[in-house]
Amino acid sequence: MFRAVSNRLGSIATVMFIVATVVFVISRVIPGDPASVVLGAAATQDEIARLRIDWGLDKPLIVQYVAFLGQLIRLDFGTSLFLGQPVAAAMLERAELTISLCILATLISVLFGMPLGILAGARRDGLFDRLGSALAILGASLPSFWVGLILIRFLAVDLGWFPVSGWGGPEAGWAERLHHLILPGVVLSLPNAVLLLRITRTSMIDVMSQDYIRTARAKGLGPSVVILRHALRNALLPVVTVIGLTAALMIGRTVVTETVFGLPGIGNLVVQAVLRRDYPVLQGVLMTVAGLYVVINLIVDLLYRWIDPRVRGSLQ
Amino acid sequence: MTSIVRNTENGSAGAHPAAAAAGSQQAGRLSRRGVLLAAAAMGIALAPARGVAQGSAARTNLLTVALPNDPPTLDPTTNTNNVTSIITQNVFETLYTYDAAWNIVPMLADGAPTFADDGKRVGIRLRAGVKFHDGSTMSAADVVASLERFLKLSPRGGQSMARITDGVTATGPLAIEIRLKSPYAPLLQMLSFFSAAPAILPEAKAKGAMGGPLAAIGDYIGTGPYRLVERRADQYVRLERFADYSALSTAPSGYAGKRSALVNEVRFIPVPNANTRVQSVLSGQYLVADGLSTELYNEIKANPNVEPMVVDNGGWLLFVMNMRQGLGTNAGIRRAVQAALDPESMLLAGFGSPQFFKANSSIYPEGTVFHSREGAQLYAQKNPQRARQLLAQAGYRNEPFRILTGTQYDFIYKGALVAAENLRAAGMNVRVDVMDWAAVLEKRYDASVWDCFLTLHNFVPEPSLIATFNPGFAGWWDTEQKRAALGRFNSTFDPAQRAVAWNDLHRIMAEDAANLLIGTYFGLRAYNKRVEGVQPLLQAPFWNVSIKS
Repeated sequence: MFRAVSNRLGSIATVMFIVATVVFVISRVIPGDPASVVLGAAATQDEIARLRIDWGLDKPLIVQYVAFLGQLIRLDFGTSLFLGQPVAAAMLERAELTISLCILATLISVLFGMPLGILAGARRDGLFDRLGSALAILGASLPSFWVGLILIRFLAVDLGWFPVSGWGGPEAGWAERLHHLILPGVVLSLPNAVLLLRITRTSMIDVMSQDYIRTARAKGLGPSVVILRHALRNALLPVVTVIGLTAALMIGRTVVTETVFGLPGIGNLVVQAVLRRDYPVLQGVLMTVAGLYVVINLIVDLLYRWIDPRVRGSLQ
Repeated sequence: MTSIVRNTENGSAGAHPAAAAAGSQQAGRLSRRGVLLAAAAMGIALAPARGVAQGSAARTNLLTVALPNDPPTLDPTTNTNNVTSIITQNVFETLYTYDAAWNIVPMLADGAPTFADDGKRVGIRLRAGVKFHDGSTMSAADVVASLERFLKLSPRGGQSMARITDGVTATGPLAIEIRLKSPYAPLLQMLSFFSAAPAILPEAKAKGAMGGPLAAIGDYIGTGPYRLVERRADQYVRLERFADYSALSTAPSGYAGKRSALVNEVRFIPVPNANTRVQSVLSGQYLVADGLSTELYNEIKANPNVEPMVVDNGGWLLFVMNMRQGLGTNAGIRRAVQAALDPESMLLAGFGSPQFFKANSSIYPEGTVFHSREGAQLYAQKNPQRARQLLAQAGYRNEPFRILTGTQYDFIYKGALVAAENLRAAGMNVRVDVMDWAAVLEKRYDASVWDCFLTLHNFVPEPSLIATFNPGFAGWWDTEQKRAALGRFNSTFDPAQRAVAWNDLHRIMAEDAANLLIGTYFGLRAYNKRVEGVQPLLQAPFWNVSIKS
């Protein structure tokens, strides 16, 4: 076991080194300069050059690269050029919002996608099935930013039910924060809800044609008992897998949602870092995401090894 | 603290648990009763939420302002960002400022300056008893340190002024002297302008930040009517009323006169999406929204609770030619470009309605001292035939003419596309290189990759503050006749002679075809009708602004 873990850690170090190099090169290859952004459009070349010196951006790229690697070894992503705070602190501060948003969106997608999928699958070609198919096509075709703007217009501006943007001021409690997250949560949940609807429907159709369902009906059980107690439990297995997968992918889609709703989360942080060329933030976020994927993979590998003895040999 | 929070919390706290309870009770059963209950719970959840906007309407002490982006820094001196100035001018003050007619009047200075030694020694007396936000009282030492920091770090005027400044010294507890190498007419403009400003800080704070922008929140100590209390990047900047503010007693006018903090807190919130920003003020969530797209004017106008405000002096569009390298170094080609352009079409494409721009040959509007007709005959020729002739005379051989442009400002991008068509009609081989704004800001200083770029310049009240006249600015316009004219303008104190010198410079700008003026544009802001006192200025201050109950 120890040997397997140390082997894995060795390969993780190699992967992270490659990722760090790619991240550094990408962030410096894209044209643009943080000093120009911070000084504004009226700044001259000399003034920009002076700030670049202050920030150490005038040094050869290899020197900056070595300094970056040195920071990484100390698990230090440096300080943002614009935010006036360490990158790690900036990410932590925004993670609360993004994670809350993803959890809420996952809940919404489950609450809407699964019941509709169950109803659609239980009565194939029935009213709910047709309605569900129409919703699925609609939900899959509409771009998130457009849905966001339409919801803002009607539910926030015309009806006044929700705030338009942000997630509350310094005095906001959890209830106000939640209130700010509902509309973006709905927008973020839409593609997942549609996917869940389709997967649940397919799974339900599959299960409903099984012999034991026929037996349950033959025993005289009511439709709700057959669907909820006998069919649903078996149909849920692939659905739960999809929920897990889509919840992870959701973080990537927060970029658009957070931008439309003016939410200061991780997605917004990345967008702003790219627009401002805030190299430390860009590097820090990309390294963190890559690191999380690598660690999750490690855990999964070790779990496989623990669960299935046949894998042990191949891992060692 | 505030009713919006209480209302929201009451509404949400009362509603969401109800919804959650209903949801949990009905989770296992899918019945019509369940659906109805869930719908009822949603109704309970949303009904009080409608009160959020109405609750916010009852507030009179929190002024919320939605801005187009988060300020890259809040240092009032080290950058020219519009968003930064909008916020910091409420916190920091300068020795002089502008009244409603853009005349320079004292702010922290006690009266007009005195000039000696042929204008090379400038004495300024300071107001007594002016309090900083940390409770200390302003002295000459604070002003000297602040001006030294301005001369070292300010990108707009400070560093060019530093070249002709011998030093700044305290000549008494409340008196300073600026020693110049030669007379410098724009001096008071430099000491008045609020962008990249000579903001007055306590001596220790100024000396502690001589290497770059102010860092800790505790360093942002000014003398303004509001003090900075909190900045959460990408979320908000909070200013609170400064109780010990040392106000002038003169009548308010423009940026001048008595400044009063009429609300307890001004909160600036970045809302980068333009559509979301306007919706946030239409819904009543925020009270003011700045930097709006002119396309939204009618939607704002149709809302009974919100008023659109057209900002007359927004800025101007310039077609900057590269005079260091490439096709732009050929004066004949520059004049051909000038002959081919159709400024009105470019502005119409960018702003949609003539209500938001003026296609004119003068940088400054009619009725102002710097309005000029010089060079007007070269403006808006819209003459592709003449452009073809000029290109032939200049020896143009169908080389690609590269227009550098960005997508951050829609009107710049659209204007560049129209310009490209104008030039193609004159027979030029045009390539439009589109990139994001950060890339444009960098690439414009690489003379090898572009021949011209379309840019905006915020309104400045005096020509000496125009960045494109700086020979170090992208384009590198530094002809001998321009240098001489600019020298005359900067060294002449007499208003009549300055106007003459400015006319010369205006004519040379057109003749050199270095910075082709496309026209002036106006800004758009929206504010809730309960808000009173917002001025139609590009960088509107928020002192003397109140909220009706």
